[in-house]
Amino acid sequence: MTFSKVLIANRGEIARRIMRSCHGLGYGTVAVYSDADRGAPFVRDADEALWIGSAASADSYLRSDRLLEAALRSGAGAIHPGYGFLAESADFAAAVEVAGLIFIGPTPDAIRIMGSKIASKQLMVRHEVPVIPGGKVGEQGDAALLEEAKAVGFPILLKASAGGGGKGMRIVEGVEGFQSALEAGRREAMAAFGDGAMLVEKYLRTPRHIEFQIVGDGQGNVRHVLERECTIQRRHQKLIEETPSTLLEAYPELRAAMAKAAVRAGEAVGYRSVGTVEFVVDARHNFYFLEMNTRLQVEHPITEEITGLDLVELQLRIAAGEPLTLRQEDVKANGHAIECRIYAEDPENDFLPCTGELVRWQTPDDPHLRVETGVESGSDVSMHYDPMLAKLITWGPRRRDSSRRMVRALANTVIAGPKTNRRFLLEVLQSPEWDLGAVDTELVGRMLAGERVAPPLETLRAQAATAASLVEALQVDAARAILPSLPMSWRNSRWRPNVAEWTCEGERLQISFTAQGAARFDVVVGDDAALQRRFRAWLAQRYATTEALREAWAAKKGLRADETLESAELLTLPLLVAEGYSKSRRHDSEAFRASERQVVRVVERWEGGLRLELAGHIRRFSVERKGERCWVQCGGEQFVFDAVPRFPEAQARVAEGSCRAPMPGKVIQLLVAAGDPVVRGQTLLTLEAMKMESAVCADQDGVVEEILVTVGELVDADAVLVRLAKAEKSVEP
Amino acid sequence: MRVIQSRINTRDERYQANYAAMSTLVEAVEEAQRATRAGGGEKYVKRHLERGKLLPRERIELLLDPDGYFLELMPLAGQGIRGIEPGGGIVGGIGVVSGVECLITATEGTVKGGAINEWGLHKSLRLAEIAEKNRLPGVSFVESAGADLMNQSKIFVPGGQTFRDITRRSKERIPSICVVAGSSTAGGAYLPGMSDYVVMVKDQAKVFLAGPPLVKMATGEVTDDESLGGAAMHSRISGVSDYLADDELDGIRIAREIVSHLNWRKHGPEPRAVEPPLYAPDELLGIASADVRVPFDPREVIARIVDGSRFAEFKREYGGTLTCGWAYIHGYPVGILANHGVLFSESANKGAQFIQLCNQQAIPLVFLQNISGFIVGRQYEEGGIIKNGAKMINAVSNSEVPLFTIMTGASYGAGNYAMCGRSYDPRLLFTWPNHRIAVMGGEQLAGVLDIVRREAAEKQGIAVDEQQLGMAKKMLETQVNNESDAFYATGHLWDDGIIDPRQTRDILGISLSAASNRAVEGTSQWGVFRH
Repeated sequence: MTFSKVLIANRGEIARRIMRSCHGLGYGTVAVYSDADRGAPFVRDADEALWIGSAASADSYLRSDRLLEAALRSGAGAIHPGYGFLAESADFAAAVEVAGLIFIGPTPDAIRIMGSKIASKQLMVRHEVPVIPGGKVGEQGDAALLEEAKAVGFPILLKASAGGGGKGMRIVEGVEGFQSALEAGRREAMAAFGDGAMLVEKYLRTPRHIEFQIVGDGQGNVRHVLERECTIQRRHQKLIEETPSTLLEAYPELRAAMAKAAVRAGEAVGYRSVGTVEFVVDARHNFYFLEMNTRLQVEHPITEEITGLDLVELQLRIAAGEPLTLRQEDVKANGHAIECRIYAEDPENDFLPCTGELVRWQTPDDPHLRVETGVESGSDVSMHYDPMLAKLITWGPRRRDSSRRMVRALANTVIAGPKTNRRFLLEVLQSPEWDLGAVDTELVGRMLAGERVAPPLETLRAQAATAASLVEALQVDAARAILPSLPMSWRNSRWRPNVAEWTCEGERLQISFTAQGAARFDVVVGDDAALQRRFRAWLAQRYATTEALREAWAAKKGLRADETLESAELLTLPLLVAEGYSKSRRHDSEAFRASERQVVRVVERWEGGLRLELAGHIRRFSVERKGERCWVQCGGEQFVFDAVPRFPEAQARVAEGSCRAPMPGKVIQLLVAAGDPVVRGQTLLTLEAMKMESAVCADQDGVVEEILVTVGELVDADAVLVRLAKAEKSVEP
Repeated sequence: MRVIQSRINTRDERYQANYAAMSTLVEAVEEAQRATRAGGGEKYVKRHLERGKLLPRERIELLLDPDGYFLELMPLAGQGIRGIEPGGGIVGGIGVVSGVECLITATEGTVKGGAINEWGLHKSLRLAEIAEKNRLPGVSFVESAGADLMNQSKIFVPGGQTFRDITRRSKERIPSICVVAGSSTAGGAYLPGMSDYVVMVKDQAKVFLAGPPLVKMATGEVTDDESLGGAAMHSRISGVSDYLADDELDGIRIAREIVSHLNWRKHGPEPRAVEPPLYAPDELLGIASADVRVPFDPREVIARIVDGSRFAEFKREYGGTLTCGWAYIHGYPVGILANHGVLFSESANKGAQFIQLCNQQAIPLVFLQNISGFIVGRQYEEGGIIKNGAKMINAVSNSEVPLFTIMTGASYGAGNYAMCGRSYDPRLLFTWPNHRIAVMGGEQLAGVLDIVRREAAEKQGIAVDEQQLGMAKKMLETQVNNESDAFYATGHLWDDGIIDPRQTRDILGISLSAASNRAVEGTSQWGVFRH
C-alpha cells in the first residue's frame, strides 16, 4: 500500500514538525483545524487544511469520525497522529486501517497492550523486563483499592489506568489522604481519557526517569536509539530532557542492560514505528519498566540531535512498508542535547496555565539551537489546548556546551504576553545540582518547596522600567506635529522632569526623566529602600546552598558516580556558578541605585526594543507595548509593567467577598449552595482549565449569598463566581 | 544658502572672560527663577498641598502634552519692585495641549491667596495680548482671592480690560477655556463668566459676585459658599459652568479634551525640514560681550541660531553696521536684522529696505539688538541721519509680518525704536542677561548732565563746586546703571523674559511656531518716507 499525502491529526508544534519531514520526502500534507486554529502557523504550513469542529478538542481533535472524513475528503492515504489527542487510541488506529488508510504508528494491538498498565506489565514480566511492584488494575471499589495500596505499601502512586502525562496521577503518603486523592484522580481521568479506572503502584522516592527510544519495522527488526533522561519534572510533567544521561555515561553497563530490556519490550509486541520505553532508576541503580509510549515523544528532537536520525522520516518509511535498515552498531551518540519546554504558566501562582495574546515571540539566532513551536507573534494562547509554547533544543559536543547554549537561548528569547516558566527553567539550568548532573525527579519539587529568596531584581526592574518609559516617551515624541525639531518636553524654566508611572507586581514604580538632547536622559528611579537588604539575604542563601552542596559532595567522595563527572571541577564549579551569578547581580545593584540621578543614553532604538547605556554598561532591552501593558525583557528576566494613566478613571471597586475565577476555565463541581455557611479557605467550587483542576476557595468566613455560575459553565478569568456575605454573630434561637 | 564660517577661538582670553561673566549672569537668572518656582514659600505650599490641591505649575505640567514644549513668559515680572512677589502671582506661557499651542495661565494660589496685584495685572494683560496677536487659544486655571484690596487703586480701572480681552478674542474665534479650581469671586467671577468653556472642580470651585459675608451685609440673606457659588450649583443650576469635574485631575483632563476637539488649524506656514546649526550654542556665552561697550560680530550669533548656520546676507558691502539677511529657524523662514555698531544713514536705509522686502514676501523679522544709538555729529546730521533713521522707524512701525526682538547687549537711544523695541509691538521680545537699556549709557548720561550744569554755572557766573558736581555725576551714573540692567527691564515688563542665550534658537523657533497660528502676511502700505 502506498500513499503520497499525509493527514496530520494534530495541531501546534508537532503538526509542523511532522509536516517538515513529510515535505522533505515529497509527501503532500493535510492539516486539520478547529475554530480556534484557523489562522495558526501549522495550518498555514500544510498544503491544504480541513475544518473539523469547534475549539474544544472533544469536538475537533478528538473526533475520530471527523478526522477520517477529512482524510477521505482530502485524498490523504495515511494519518499521522502526532502525540497526545488520539495518538495512543487503539480504536482510532484500528478505524484508520478499517477505512483503508495507513496509520503512521504501531499496530492497534501494540497500542492496546501497551496502553493497559496491567497487560503491559504482565507482558514485560514474561519477557524479563523488571517492573514496579503493584500496578494491577483490580477491583475498582474504594475499599479494594485501599487494600491494594496497603499491600504495596505507602507511599503509593495512584494512577489512571488509561492515562499518561500525569493526568489523574496522585502521590499518596498514607491512608488518610487516600480517599480524596482517589476521587480527584478519577474525575481527572474521566475528563481526560473517558475512563475512570485507577491503579495503585509503589512510589519510588528520588528516582531518575530514563527512557529509551526504540524503532521497529513490524517485520521483526527492533533497534534502540539510545536513551533520554527526563528526570527534571514537575508534577510528573517533563520539563527538561537531555541525552545522553549523566548516569548512564557513568555506568555504561547499566545503559546496555536497559537498552536490551527496551528492545525486548519492543520485540514483545512486534513493534512497528517509533516508540519509547520508559524506566525509572532508583538510587541503587535498579531499573523498572514504567510504561511504553507507542508514539513519537515530545522530546524526540534531542535523540535526533545526537544521532543525526530523523525519527519522523523513519516513521514514514516504515509506514510505507520499508524494512528497517538501521543497524544497532551504527547508533552512536554525537555530543549532547537538551530540550526545554516553555509553558505559558505562572511559576509564582502554582504554575497555573496562562492564556492571552502572545504579543511577541522571537528566538535568538544560534546554529545549534533548534526551535519547535506552534506559535508566533500575535498567536492567541487559548485555554483549549496544552499551554506549551515551544521546545528549545540545544546541542553541544559536551553537556556543559549544550547547557550553556540553552541558558543563553532562554535568556534571549523574547516572550511578551502570558507568563511563562522561563525563569524557572533558567533557575534549574543554573543550579549546582544540574551542573553536576546530580538530579532526581524530586529536584524541582525541592527547589519549589525550599525557602527560595527571589533574586534581587529591583535594579534590573528599575532599568527595565526606565526602558519602558523611554520607549513610550520616544514613541509619543516621534509623532509630535508641533516643532518636531525641538527637544522633547522643552522648558525654559523647568519645574519637574517628565514622569512615567508603572505598576509591577502590585508595586508602584516611578521613573522621572529629563531629555538632555536627542538620546540622553537624566533619570531618577523612585526610592526603594529594601533593595540592599533583599540583595544581601539572597546572597547569603546562595552561599549557604553552595556550602551545603560542597559538603554533600565531599562526603560522597569515593563513589564512582562522582569521579566520572569531570571531577577536577566538581567542587569548585558550583561555587563559581553561585559567585559569578552574585557578582553580576552585585554589579547591577551598584549601577542603579534608587533615587539617584543617572545619565542614560539611548544607544540604539528599533521596533520592539532599545539598547541603553546605564552607568557605562550597554544592555539590550526588548520592549513590547499593548494597551496599558508593557513587557520588558533583559538578560532572561521579564518584567510586566502596567502604565498608571495620567488621568485615572474612577474604577469600579471589587466588592469584598467576591470569589473570582483565577483563570479562564470550566466549572466542574459546585461544593456549596446559597445559604451555606463557609469558613475562610474552604473550597467552594472546582474549576477545570487546561485539563487541570483548581479549587476556588472562600476568601473570608461567611455565608454563601449567591452563586453566579452553574456546573459546566465556561468562565473568564476574574469573573465573579460566588458572592459571600460576611459572617454575622450567630444568634442562638 | 552659504554657511557662516565662524572665527571664534574658544581659548581666546576675551572669549573666556565673557563666558565666565555670562555664566554667572545666567546662573543669577536661574536663581531668581528658581525662587519664583517655589511659589509663596514652604509654609503656603505645604498648606496648599495639604488641602489636596495641585500647585499651579503642576496643573500646567499635567495639562501639557508630555512631549510638548512650554515657554514660560515674564517669569520675573515685578522683580525688584517693592511689595511684589517676583512673577506677579501668576504663571503664564505658551505650551502645547492636545497638539495645539495654547496660551496657558495659572494663578499662584500660594502667593497672597492668588490675589491680583498691579504687576500681575500688567503681566496678565500682556499674556492676553500675546494670545490675541498670535491667535492662541487660552487655558486658564483660576484660583484667586480677587483684587489685592490694599492696592485696588492701581488695578481696578485698568483691570477691566481683562474681561474685555476675553470676549474680543472670542469674537475673533480664539477660544478661552477656564478651569476654576478655587475661589474666583467678584471681578474674578467674570473670568469664567466671559470664557467660552468653563470647567469647575467639585468641592473646590467657588464663584460668586459676593461671598456670604457681603451677601448678609447687602440683603440679610444667610447662605454658604457651596450653595452660593459651588461647582455643583453652577453646573446644575446656574449654567455658569459647562463641565463638573470630579477633581482637579479630571478638570485638567476635561480641558485637554476641549482643546482636542477645537478642530484647531494653524493659519500660518508649516516649517520645512530642519538642519541644526553647525556650531555649539554654548559658545554664545563667550561670544556676547559681558561689557556692552565692546562690540561683537552678530554673524557669530546668527551662526548659532539658524538652521544649518546658513545665512543669505543682504547688502553685505553697504551699511556694514547693520547686518541683514535671510535664514531659517526651526524650519521657519526669517529675515534677520542685527546690529554691528552704531546706525549710520546707510545702515538705516538698508534696514528700511530690508523690512520692506520681507513684508513683500511675508517673511517674519528677527531683530538682534545690540545698539548704542544712531551716529551723531555735524557731518551725519548734514547727511540726514534723522530722516534716514525715521525711514527705518517708519518701516518697523508699519510692518505687518510678525516681529521678534532679542536683546543681545546694549539698547540705547532711538536705536531701541528702530530695532523694534518694546513700543514697536514685537510679537515677543526676549533679553539676554548681559543686556543694558536706557536712553543712553549711564556714563554718557551723567557726563552730559555734568556738561549742561557746568555751562549753566558759567552762564550765571557761579564758580563750579567740583566736589558736589562730582558726587552728583557719580550718583546719577549709579542710578541709571541700576535702572538699565536686564533684571530691572524684565521686572518692569519691558520684555517677555530674560533667557539663557543658549536657548535663543529654540525660543525663536517656538515664537515663530506660535505666531504661525495666525496667517503670516506682510504689507505694502507705509507712512510717507522722507527721501
